Amino acid sequence: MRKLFKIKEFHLLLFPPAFWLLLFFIVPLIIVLIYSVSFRELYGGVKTGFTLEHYKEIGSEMYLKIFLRSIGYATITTLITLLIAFPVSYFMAFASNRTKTILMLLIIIPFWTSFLIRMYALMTIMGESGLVNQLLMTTGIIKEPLALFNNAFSVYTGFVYWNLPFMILPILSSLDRLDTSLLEASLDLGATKTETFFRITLPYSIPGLVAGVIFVFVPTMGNFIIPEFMGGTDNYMIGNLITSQYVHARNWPFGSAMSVVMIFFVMIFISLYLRFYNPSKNKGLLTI
Amino acid sequence: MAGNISRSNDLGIGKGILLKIITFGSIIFLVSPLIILMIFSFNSGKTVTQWEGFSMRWYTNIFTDYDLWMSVRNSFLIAIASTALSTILGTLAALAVGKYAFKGRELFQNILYIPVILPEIIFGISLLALFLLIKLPLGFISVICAHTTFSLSFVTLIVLAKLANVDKRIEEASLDLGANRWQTFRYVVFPNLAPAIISGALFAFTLSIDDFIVTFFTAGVSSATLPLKIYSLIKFGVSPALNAVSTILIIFTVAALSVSNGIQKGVKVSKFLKYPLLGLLGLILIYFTVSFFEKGKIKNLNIYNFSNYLSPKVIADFEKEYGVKVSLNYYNDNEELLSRLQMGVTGYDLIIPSSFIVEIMRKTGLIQPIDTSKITNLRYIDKRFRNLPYDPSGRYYIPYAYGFSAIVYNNQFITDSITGWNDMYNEKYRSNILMVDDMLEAFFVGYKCLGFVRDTDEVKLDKVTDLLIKQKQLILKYENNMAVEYMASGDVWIAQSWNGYIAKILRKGPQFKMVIPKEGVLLFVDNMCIPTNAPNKEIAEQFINFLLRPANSASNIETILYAMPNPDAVKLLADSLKNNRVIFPSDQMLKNMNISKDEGEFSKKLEKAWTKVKIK
Repeated sequence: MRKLFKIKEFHLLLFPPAFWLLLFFIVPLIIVLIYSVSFRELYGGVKTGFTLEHYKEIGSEMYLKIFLRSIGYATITTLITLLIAFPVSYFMAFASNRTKTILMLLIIIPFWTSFLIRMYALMTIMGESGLVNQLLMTTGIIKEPLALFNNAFSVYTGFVYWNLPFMILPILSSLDRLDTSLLEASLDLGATKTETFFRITLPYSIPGLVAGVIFVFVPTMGNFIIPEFMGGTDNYMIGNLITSQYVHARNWPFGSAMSVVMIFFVMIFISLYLRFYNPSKNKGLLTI
Repeated sequence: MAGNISRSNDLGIGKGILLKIITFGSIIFLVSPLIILMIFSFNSGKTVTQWEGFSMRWYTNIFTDYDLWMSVRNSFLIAIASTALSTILGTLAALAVGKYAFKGRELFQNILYIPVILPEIIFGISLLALFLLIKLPLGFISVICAHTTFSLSFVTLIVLAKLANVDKRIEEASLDLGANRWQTFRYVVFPNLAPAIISGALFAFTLSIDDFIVTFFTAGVSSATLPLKIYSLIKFGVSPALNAVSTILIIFTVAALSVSNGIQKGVKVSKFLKYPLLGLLGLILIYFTVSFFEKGKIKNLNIYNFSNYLSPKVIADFEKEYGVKVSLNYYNDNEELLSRLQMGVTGYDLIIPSSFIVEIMRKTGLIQPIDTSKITNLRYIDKRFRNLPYDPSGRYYIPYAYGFSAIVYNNQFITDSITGWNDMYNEKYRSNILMVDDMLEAFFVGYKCLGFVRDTDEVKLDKVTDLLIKQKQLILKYENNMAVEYMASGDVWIAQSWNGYIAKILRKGPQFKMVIPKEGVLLFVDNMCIPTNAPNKEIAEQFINFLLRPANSASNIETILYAMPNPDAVKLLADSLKNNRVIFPSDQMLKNMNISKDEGEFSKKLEKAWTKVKIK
């Protein structure tokens, strides 16, 4: 009797969220998969049938190029962000409590500020007549305004600006778990600072590092706002292409096929994330 | 932040000067754009880059912006509903996963985790695909479902983390002491979980309030949220009003952060503060809920239009005379308008598509016949614009405005003679050229540059596509709405733009010159149409009739600077405007201009070619 009751109670817990995820997460992904092998209607919409033409098309040089470009942007962004974020986290981890609290606050405010507002803030100062150029010109450092905007430089700046907190916070949270007595012991036992860094500090930061890389790389791959607002004519990314297939070209099947390819690509990162960064064991990013 | 008690170590680690420089440099990089943005919200001038003096005008401005407040209200309603749903579902999922071993638990757990990392665009697209398939109109319900789905996982993760830390022995003790399972949950487990549930809920709330990408794909007209509104403000005309909105939001964020920090640290709020605060929260909730149901009683007109294409004064006059609230939403180009309606975005009462889109919408049943007996002012319309080939019956459209795109340049930078489209693509102007972001215009120019007749020949299309790709290397951007700003700031020397924008640019100074390309221009005729599922057809018809009144039409022309086929209105204009050939093309020009039409199957090839141009 008691056992029966248990089963019922458990089902009550499991079924609503499971049903919700099935309906609004699994089923939509299956629909995208089905759309991706269907035909397009002339004016938009989907004609049932089976075709692999959209996938064949994605395999053509033109679309492969945009995939490579997106991967390139995401990779370089991740590297730059990492190169900046690591020293920042490192400094913060060993700073006095007071300094650390202040720095933390200054990182968390942008972290929680709406993405669009942050982009807009950056856009207004980076234009040819923006404040950066104004400043450089009035101080006499440059005579002609620099081309800072609507090119690859501004796209990278946008991505790094957006992602920096997402890299700093997980690395910091890893470094914070490092017990300083370990470092002390290492130094006392004759290791140099460099050795101590590579044999103790760096290994300790790995979980945060992996998390940071995933949380920067994947959203950068899928972003279409930064190329749209900050890019010029050569910075179209995979996200822009998918969006344009839905809100411009009315070619839902092709847009869906693109999405499927993208899902498979980020799957690599998702499985990495599920293996190394099991969120139930490591609260990491979620408890800032 | 957990971690070690004190890191101010004597080991000399993390004290390098380079580290300091990088850290403080990054912090300045992160924070200074936000501070500058906040400062410029007090700029009395209209730009966000030139400081002209202190003023609060943009704050007063936004407090009277009806559409903005509607979007704030929508954001809150959606966030409240999706937070409630995702907190309940997420907590249930956490309890199921955390407290029971079952078959498929690992799979379920993995499925729970994936939404955290999945690119938002995939979420947006797949949910849109679902809503398209089940024919759920895009609106509140669709956005709430979408937001609940991505917030759910975060709630689960947060609650699960806490659940792992709750001592199992307390539970056992409670059961041993005779409490039943429900009592144990209610009085032992739940109080322990409550802080995690609250932070999960706060997290869900913030995610929902902030979300742009998923909302972009799943929202309808009346459900547009604040981020969508901000996006549209960035895209369709930047002004310090946006800085003011942002400043308020940043302050709100900081306040919310300190509150949530307080809750997590278990700060005790004194009773004197607690109840008034709760009361305030309740009042806000009641206000939003009531306003949601109240809104049904207000007469509303939702217009979907190009930006800068309707005089605010004319709208205000209409609102006053008819007691109607007008909401405006913008699209970037005709194709976006068509796509959005095809996707099942409902709630628009009036749209302003160009000729060929009217034809497609009429064929696909997206627009309905207008009751011309109610449009008594139709008699003012120039007969040449009635019953045009894209709708010979003339029942589906009322002509709104017409014009063309041409070249405008700044002679401070450009001294060569500019006579035609080909002259724009000069290596000397590299990265200082702006073109409109419009497929038909782009190909029109391409065909003209090569001297081709526009037909459906694929070899020609390929050649034109290659030319456009080559020209693209010189172009700064394809952009539809910011030509005036780009030209005025000197960022752009030469631009293709629509004549209404050019007329505005020419007013900025004598250095700006207009050229009507010798190869010819593409004429557009934009029309007022009523979507099939328009909720307020009658108000839309009243509005059309109102706009056709010569006095209103004239006032509209004065603001937007596009010609309207309303001879009586033109008579009312000042001579300088009436005889302005930038705004009113001569009859000779009208004769030589071609109106774009639906190209059926060929439009697929054009779209492919345009995509190719964009991504190469």
